[in-house]
Amino acid sequence: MKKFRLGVFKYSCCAGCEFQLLYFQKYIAEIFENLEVVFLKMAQSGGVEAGPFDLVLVEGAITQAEQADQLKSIRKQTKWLLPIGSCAVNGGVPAIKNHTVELELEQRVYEDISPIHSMKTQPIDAFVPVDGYIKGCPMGERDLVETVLSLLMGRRPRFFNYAVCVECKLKGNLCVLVAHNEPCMGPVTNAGCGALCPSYNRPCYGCWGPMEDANAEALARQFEKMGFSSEEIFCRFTQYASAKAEFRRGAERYGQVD
Amino acid sequence: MRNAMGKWISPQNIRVDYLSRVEGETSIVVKVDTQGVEDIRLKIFEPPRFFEGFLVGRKFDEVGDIVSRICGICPISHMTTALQAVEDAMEIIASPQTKALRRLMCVAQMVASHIVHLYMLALPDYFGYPGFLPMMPEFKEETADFLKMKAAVNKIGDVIGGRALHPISMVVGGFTKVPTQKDLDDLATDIEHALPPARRTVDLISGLSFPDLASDTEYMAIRKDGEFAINDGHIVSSKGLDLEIRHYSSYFHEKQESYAMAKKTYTREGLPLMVGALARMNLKFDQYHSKTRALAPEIDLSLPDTNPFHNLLAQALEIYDGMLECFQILTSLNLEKERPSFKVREGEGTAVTEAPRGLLMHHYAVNRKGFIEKANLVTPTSHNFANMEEDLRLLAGRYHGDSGSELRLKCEQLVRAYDPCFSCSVH
Repeated sequence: MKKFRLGVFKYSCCAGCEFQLLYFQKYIAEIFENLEVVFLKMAQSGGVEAGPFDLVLVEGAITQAEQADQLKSIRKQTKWLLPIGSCAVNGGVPAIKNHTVELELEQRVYEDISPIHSMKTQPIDAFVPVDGYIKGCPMGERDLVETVLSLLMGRRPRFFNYAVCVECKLKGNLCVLVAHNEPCMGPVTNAGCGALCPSYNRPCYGCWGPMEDANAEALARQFEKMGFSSEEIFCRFTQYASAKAEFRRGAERYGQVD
Repeated sequence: MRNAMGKWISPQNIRVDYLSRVEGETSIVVKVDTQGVEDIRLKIFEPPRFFEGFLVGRKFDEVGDIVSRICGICPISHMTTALQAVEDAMEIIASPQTKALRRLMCVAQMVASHIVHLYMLALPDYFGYPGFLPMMPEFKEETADFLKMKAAVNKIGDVIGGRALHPISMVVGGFTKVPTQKDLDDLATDIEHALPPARRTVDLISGLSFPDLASDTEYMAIRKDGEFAINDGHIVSSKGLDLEIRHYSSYFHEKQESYAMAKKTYTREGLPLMVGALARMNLKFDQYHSKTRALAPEIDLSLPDTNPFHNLLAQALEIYDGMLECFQILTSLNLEKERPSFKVREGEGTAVTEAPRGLLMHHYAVNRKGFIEKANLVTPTSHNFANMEEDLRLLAGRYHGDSGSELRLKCEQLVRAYDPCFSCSVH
């Protein structure tokens, strides 16, 4: 069987998703047997940033213009391109900065801001078309394995398209929102983690980002009824995916989104 | 032109545009001309994400989860340090059980981080491979050891933290869920089985041939009585410093360079310093487990060890020592059900911990409603930044007779030996 040419590119993020590739040791040997690593800076010297690639995985959000330039050129050289992890999929934690005026933000961190050329944080699909999303913070193992196996077998990957609530019910967890009055993001957050936080007695904080057609506004109003302040509700919807319209709608009534 | 030893010097221009096998993005520039070393720059071009800027206005109970995302290899350190700094600000005292579990999580992460660094990032240089993946078919026992150790320590993060990367059970005041006795027993069994691979790792690393280099830098670590300090203690140094953690900002200062997105940290005297496994070995060797100390004669260890390349050796010893420590904690814990409970109050707090790469400092001011008003973070790679350049200067001076490709490899090896994390350093 012909090996797939793999490229992994990192933009603004913690690099945890690239490490996650190595954490998934149960499947790592089988996956890598079918891949030819053309570019993976964290694991391998040499390698060229030019294609052609079969599969490109992109971690991190776009926060600088030259990242977007490179991304667009990579898109032309690969058959498939998928964002991995919340930063690449949804803007992630780096998108929290979008709610502060750039100048003020830069001045809080650097004395001399002249070498800084940061821009509004955006996910990968703001600049190029993508062939699916490997969600999670860090990206989920099931999603990655499903994607790579599907591509190897020439079929469309089956992604999870329902809320964390479904996983919670399947696990038989007590609802932390209803029973404990906690601001749980489960009803609007895409499944894939296995309802991790509620299973550890805490409300979901939405790190996988919104599921399709999530009604974040209704959930935000529910939080308001439950007695949470505007600032708290704003924080809740801007932690991992405020660059995505679904979560923005939850935050908009409660603070300055941009 | 010849140098003092009569060796011919020719101008060298070493440029590594995007250094591979390190966490984050940097370039190395080394210029040696006939007069000696002319220019050394570690151009850290990792894009800033402005954590210190956007943490302002966020709620205290989000901080641990947010700062975890600074780094994909030491998230538990950022999380723990932030939780401790917020607790310091709000005058919350963590229970002994919480402290023990945090220590276990941090030691397990330190071992995991060192394992990834040694096997995946550093080792290929010493065997002439571009990466560890192509080494795997040739190095079957090493690969099996690597995977076995990694699985054992990751499982600690998985079971106790909910997930090894960006764990979710660690919150202000404690843990949302504590493991069962069976969990602890299972984890201890896995760690016990990972001890022989850890022992072999020490042999593997001590058998490598390292370039020769001696630095006169100041080594720094945190130290306390009775145990190998990880999450609390005093800041001590090889030049006699003994500083309380709350006085951190009066002693250290950060300097911005035009060519790097990370800042350099210096001591009050304006001198560079070194933190991390080698610093800890030099300052706290006496607090390793006795089984670890017993390895010293076998690997010809002599202290203080001032060769920065030996940071790899110190990491190997910490893998073994960390496994022993995890086993000891896992087999002595007597867990009770606890739920975090505290009152929100205003204040400022600081915490300094030993992350895998060395001293990590978080400082926050929290207002009376529990929102962050000020955040300052200084990471291990920021503490080491100036010293990495100093050591590159020493190295280029010491080995300027090498061919371009030999010197280039040594420069890369040196930077990797520090196990830098550029994502952390810029944050």
